[in-house]
Amino acid sequence: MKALVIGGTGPTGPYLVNGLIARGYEVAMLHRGTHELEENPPEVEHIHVDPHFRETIDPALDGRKFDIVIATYGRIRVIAEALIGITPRLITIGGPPSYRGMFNPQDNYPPGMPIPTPENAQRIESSEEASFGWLIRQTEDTIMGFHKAGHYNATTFRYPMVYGPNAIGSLEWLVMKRAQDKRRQIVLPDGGLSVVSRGYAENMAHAVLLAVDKPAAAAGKIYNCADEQAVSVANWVQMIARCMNWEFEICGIPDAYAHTTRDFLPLDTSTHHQLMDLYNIKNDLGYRDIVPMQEAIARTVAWTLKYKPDNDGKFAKRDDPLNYALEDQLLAIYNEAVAKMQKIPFRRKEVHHPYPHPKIAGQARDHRNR
Amino acid sequence: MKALVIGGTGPTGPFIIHGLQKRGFDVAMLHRGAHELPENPEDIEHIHVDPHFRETLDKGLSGRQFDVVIATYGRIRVIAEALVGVTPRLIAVGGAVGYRGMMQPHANTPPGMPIPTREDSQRIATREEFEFGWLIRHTEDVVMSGHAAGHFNATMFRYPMVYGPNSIRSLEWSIMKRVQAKRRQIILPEGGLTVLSRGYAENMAHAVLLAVDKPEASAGKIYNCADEQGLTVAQWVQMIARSMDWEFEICSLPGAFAYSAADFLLYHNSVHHQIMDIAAIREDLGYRDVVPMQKAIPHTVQWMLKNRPDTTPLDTAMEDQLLAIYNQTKALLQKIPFNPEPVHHSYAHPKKPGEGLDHRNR
Repeated sequence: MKALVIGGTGPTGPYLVNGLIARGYEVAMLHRGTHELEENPPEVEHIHVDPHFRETIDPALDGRKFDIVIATYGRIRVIAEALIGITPRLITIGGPPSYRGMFNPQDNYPPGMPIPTPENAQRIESSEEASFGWLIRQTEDTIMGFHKAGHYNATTFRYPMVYGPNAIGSLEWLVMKRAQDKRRQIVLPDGGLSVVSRGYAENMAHAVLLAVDKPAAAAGKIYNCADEQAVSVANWVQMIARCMNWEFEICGIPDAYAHTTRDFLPLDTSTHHQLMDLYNIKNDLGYRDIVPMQEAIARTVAWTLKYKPDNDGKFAKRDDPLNYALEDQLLAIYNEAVAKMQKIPFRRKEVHHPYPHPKIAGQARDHRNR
Repeated sequence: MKALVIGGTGPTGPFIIHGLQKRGFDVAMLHRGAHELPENPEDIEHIHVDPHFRETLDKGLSGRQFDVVIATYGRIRVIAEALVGVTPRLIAVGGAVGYRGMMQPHANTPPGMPIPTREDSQRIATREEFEFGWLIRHTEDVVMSGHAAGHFNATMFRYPMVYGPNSIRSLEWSIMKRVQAKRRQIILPEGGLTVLSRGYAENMAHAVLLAVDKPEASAGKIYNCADEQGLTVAQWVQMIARSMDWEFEICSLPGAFAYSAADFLLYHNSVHHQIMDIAAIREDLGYRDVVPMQKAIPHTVQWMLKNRPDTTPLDTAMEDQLLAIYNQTKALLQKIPFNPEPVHHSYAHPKKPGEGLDHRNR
């Protein structure tokens, strides 16, 4: 049995490659060849071409046959065309930007994404609405069109924010560096309450491999995938800090002004929740996390400390990703507002359940006069 | 076929009673008789005793037999014991308060409730940990031990915050009054991002009735139930406002200081999420909302305006004080210059073949 992994040097790559080998496949990798991972075994064949173009893909795959192809990188809608006649089974990776509301929460009513977001939620309808999301949606449609036409059995996964060893642009590092620099306060947009589905690389690879194991159940399906337990941005920050023996005071600033940490949200979206519904993948494929999220975060922090300790720039999307000068300005304003609010006297009322629950029989009203 | 509903004058009561009648049951209601609802049919038997005590329950149920009992009110652990020998099928309603973390978020790591919260999540372990939660958990254990002992086939539902006509405490009115007072700004803790599972009364009654229809699938199970789509506090506020042709500017303050929002957050003295996982009820019972929340909320607002007018004055002093601080702070934040570079996906996606790095130098 022969398998092809397109990509394979991202965080889920080695788990996919090794998972396929464990299932008895002879594995080849097709990727640009700009970097390699030591986690991938040496016996794997490498096809070094760019998976974004028919002109590069076609000559490399000429005359080849694979029992299964997992396409994790490249221009997937181009790959989907190029693979017709080459494989009977295609598993591809996309993402949730195809959902309406991820970039433009006001396009949904109520604003935001459905909580949780099921696979059949509204998707982007046009390039004008959101060009990146439209491309992702078109890719999904292209693949599923080929599935319906009988070119192959296709399954697509919408990867969430994937974290773990070998993740590009480690957001964890932005938190870890603040802990190393002993920053006591951290600004978070709206207190970091945003729930964003994340997926540990080993868990997400496990999800994909379940579709390898269950081609009939996964036939023609598009699945959300993510860790079973989601966390808010604030909890995620605190968990990373705890791995570094640190604790932050979280300082909630309205979304629009929390400039220094809005990067913690996927692709600089706003603070609306991005919680994926995992009902289908759990039901169809029996998905369960193989690494619990707390352990996964601890492993990610340990790996990042070991391999990328001083490499701030490579982890960041911006020139000065930490920007302490700006964060200190925001914190000064925050602290001033808190000092004013602390002066307001307020005593919380004791709240009881509104239904009467008498303690003694035969009284018209209970002890709380309900 | 005979059915008994214990309670029946809360928001889900009439939907459950009508649903049982539609299924061919001869329905009786056991409740204190302190009030009645016009929505309930006139032809049903009323047993007016207090469902909190064995002495009153035993008197009301003496010699009676029911094919199914739905217990929505009273002291359920006492009811469960009183029903041994009275029914082969008990469906009881509890709540999410038995979960560890609902009232004391710091009892969990990470703090808060698991997102989403599954039925097998940690529950309150001792009375000392949190008494109300312990009682709810203890009740679940009593009902399920009656099931395990073969006294009856039992199913329980953990009701979320139930809304709709006839709900006793209308949290909606806190918002509706602000609309009536034409208030433009509303303070919400952390922008109102807290997600609270809510359940429209008709939907929650539908969930309970599905267990009537599927006694085997639901045998011995405890289910979360809630509307399929969870809502943030901000979304809930905006939907109530829109039902009255109004729109608020939502003003985000740190959770600890958003005092003026305490009256519509009920138990939520903290901003942690409470999102129930409803996969089990979907899988076992085929649950789906019968009324989408986009219709349920405006209907609730209209019903409250018409049937439960609340003319107690809105005290705005606290919110005005906080808004003054918010507006000063916002003005300061707006003065900070910030021009971010646009963010792109971190993976290379070349537009032309044969180049080493792509057009964004990835």
